[in-house]
Amino acid sequence: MTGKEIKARRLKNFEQVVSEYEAALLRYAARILQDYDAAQDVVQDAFIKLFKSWKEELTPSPQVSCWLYRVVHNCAVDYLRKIARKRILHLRHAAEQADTVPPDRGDAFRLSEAAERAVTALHALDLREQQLVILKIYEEKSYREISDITGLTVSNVGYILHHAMKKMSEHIKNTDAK
Amino acid sequence: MKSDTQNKQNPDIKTGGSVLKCDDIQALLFSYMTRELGSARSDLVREHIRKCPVCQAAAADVQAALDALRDSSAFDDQLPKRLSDKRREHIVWAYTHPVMDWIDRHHVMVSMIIAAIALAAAIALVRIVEKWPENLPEPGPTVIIGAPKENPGKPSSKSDP
Ligand SMILES: [Zn+2]
Repeated sequence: MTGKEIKARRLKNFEQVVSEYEAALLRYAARILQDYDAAQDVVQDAFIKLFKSWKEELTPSPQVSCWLYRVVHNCAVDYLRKIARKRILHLRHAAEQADTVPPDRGDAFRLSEAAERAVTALHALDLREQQLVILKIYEEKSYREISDITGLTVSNVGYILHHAMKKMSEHIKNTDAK
Repeated sequence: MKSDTQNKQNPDIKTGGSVLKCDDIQALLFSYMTRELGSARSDLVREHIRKCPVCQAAAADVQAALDALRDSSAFDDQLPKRLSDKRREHIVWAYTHPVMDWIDRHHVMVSMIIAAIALAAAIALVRIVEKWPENLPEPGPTVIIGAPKENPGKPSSKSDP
């Protein structure tokens, strides 16, 4: 096979992998970031990294899926840190505001009141907890799959999720009381 | 306080030789509700919840949070399902133009390096220009137009054939 043919074949395989995972990854990134445009950027970057660093035959597989979820999460965390730094520079009381005012996600994200509270509670968790809750509840991954994505042990996944849900229940109850 | 109430309402339940306290059960509630427990442990949790009002309340809280989160997936339909064409093209471009992509990705670093090089070049140029007059014959009022050339600093006459 010539270099050109290898490249063409790789591009074709890549197209297949993108089509297979883009929707789930965009959903995941949009949930973490609450921003469609940033989600597109993050998923694009993850695919570029995959394309460059995946040395084996590129076909949809659980390994590729895990790898992509992990990289999308890391890219999303980097993105959030970057905007947090910017926000701190521009607005020192951003943290206080975040505690009292739910983030405005725009019209596309309007939900019922209970669901809105749950989303606010979700985003009050730390990023690791958010990652696990999103993977478990929205993406319906098993503890085993989450363990493969995150590198945490299965029992650690259960432990973190238990505490995350406890925090969320309390957050929801507190907002109910207000 | 809470544990006192728990103990009064709910003495530890012995099932199949293992003793399960309320704390142990509550730590398993989420796993139980998302079907992550094996059948043996699921049975223990189910049995405990049936008898223990404290854990029943805790289970209701977890269930409420779970339901609210699941409700929030109502906006799933509005979430983007495809990467934009522009981004797809960018991915292929990054694969086919790795060097350009690297520059694009590290544009801050690249522009800082370019700026540093430009600054170094500017400083070097300024120094050369500052030293420039030293290499030239000293201009002065002693030079008389039309006088015979006696300046030893000028090698040009030597190289003339
Ligand atoms: Zn109990």
